[in-house]
Amino acid sequence: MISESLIPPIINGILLGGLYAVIGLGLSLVFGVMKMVNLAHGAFVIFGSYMGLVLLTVLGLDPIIAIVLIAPTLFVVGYIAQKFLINRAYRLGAEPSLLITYGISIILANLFQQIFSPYFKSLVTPYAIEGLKIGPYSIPLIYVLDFIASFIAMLVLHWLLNRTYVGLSIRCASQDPVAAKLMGMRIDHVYALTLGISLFFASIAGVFLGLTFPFNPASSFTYLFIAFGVVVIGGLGSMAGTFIGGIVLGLSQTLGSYFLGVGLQTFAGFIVIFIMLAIRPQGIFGVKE
Amino acid sequence: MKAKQFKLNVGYSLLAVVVIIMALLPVIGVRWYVLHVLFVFFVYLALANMWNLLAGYSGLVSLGQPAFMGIAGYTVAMLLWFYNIPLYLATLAACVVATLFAAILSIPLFRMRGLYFSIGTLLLNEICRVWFNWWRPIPVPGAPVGGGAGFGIVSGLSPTSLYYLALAVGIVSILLMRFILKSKLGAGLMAIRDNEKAAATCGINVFRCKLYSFLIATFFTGLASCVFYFFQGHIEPKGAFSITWLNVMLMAVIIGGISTEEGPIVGTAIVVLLEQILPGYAQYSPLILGILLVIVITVTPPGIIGLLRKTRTYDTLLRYLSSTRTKSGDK
Repeated sequence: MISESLIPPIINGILLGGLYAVIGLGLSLVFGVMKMVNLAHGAFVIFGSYMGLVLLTVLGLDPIIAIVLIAPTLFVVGYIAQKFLINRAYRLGAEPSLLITYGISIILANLFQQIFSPYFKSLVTPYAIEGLKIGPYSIPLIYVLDFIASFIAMLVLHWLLNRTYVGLSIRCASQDPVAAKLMGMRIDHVYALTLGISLFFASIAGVFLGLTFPFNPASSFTYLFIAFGVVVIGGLGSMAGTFIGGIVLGLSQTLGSYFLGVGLQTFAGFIVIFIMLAIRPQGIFGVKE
Repeated sequence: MKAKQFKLNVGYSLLAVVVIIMALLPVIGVRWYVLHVLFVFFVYLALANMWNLLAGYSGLVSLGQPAFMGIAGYTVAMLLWFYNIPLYLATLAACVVATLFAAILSIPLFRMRGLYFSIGTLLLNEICRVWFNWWRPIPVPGAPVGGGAGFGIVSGLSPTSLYYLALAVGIVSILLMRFILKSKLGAGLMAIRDNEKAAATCGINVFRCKLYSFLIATFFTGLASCVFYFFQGHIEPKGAFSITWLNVMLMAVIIGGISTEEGPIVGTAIVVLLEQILPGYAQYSPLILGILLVIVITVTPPGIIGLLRKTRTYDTLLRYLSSTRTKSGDK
């Protein structure tokens, strides 16, 4: 007996979940492979959004097409950041790497603020405001695009990890770094590749985020929490888990907004994450270490 | 290296001299600007010291201190706004409320280990911000109270007494660190930080040690935050639960030197210098601090003090400051 008015928030929640899943994808990869929390993940997502903004306003490039330029750039940024900065802290333990990514997120957020002002911006395209009519309900077209993009991103990452040589080396490094090193793998290089791939997907998330919602430099922390939520709810190392995590989070927000009011929309999502952290930090699908 | 301590007679007397000089500053009529910078320094020093107690000595990398600061600030604001309670009683109540809040939250938080603890505490700031942004306790017609507008805080304190309050909080935080580290609790904490399982095997009650340090740190963080909000005269959710507070604590401790007693003092001085003394470039200070943080972690992880400790001059200075009577100063 679902009430009629409940259907739109449920549809929107599921579709929004797709966007959240792709935001969390990169964080989950880094967390799973390196056991490292990348606090700069949200900042890198917003990096993607701002690059999309620059390409849109300066070159007039459609953001979705611009991904071809944005994602490889972020891959290089990630590779360099891991190779020359984070790896040095990573050798010292979990806390220094946590703190160095915090430093990077502060640097990025303040750089964005200096360059783009603290005001909200968005990627304005003709299709971003279109609605899609399904029966009596109208859902934003961009939500559907988000969902499709997220699905494709998942498939690509799945293929990358399971069917390529790079993926094989990343999985080796994640399972047993010492053994991988003994086999002659350049583990620093693999970690750098991992962060690069993570940021590749983060930037795709950033572009779709920019198309869906307005963003400002401070959003980097908001979306960091979203990414955490996805990882914490879904659990590590499982693509399906990340997808489900995104959808649970999306639903908790839209339903939270439906039942508690718009002011507490994000509150409901955060509470779900917090409870999940306390009860089952390895996530719904995760395996306890 | 870790526990090269100030076992000072000379050191204590030095501290006493510094306190007396600082206390005399308003009397001899120093410009308010100087006092203002020192006020900020002492408030930040207390925050940094308490964060150092958590992250440097207890292994609790809490990123949620702004939440407790905000809770204390809001409590004092509402006690003064709605009930007109005497100022010092309200301050005490605010610290107690923040500590109680921390005690209740420690049940779920302490279930989260290591990095999960950091994520959980970081999440607290955001939860509190959203909640206080939405919450309007008693609707006062015409007056914007609660929600995004926040509360006014009328403390009625003169700038000079605010300065003395901050001075007291800052100095107490230094002495408190000294006291805790010398006590059994401090020894237990350091054992836990170095190896939690080994410490538990040796009969240290890990949970209790961590809880005590968490509660003590929350209490004094709350106190420092109250002093700051008396100065600011206003509290609203966006600023109160802002990541900026975390920047202050984290940068001061890491840049100065984590797990050292002198580190936060040096680090706080750098943070305050960058924030207050560069007036035209204030917007760049977080950027510079972020770059400094990354440089410190990659180049010299133990911070500036860690770097200094490798030099001979500093060693000599420390030996001079340590009184001759103590035998166990250096390890």
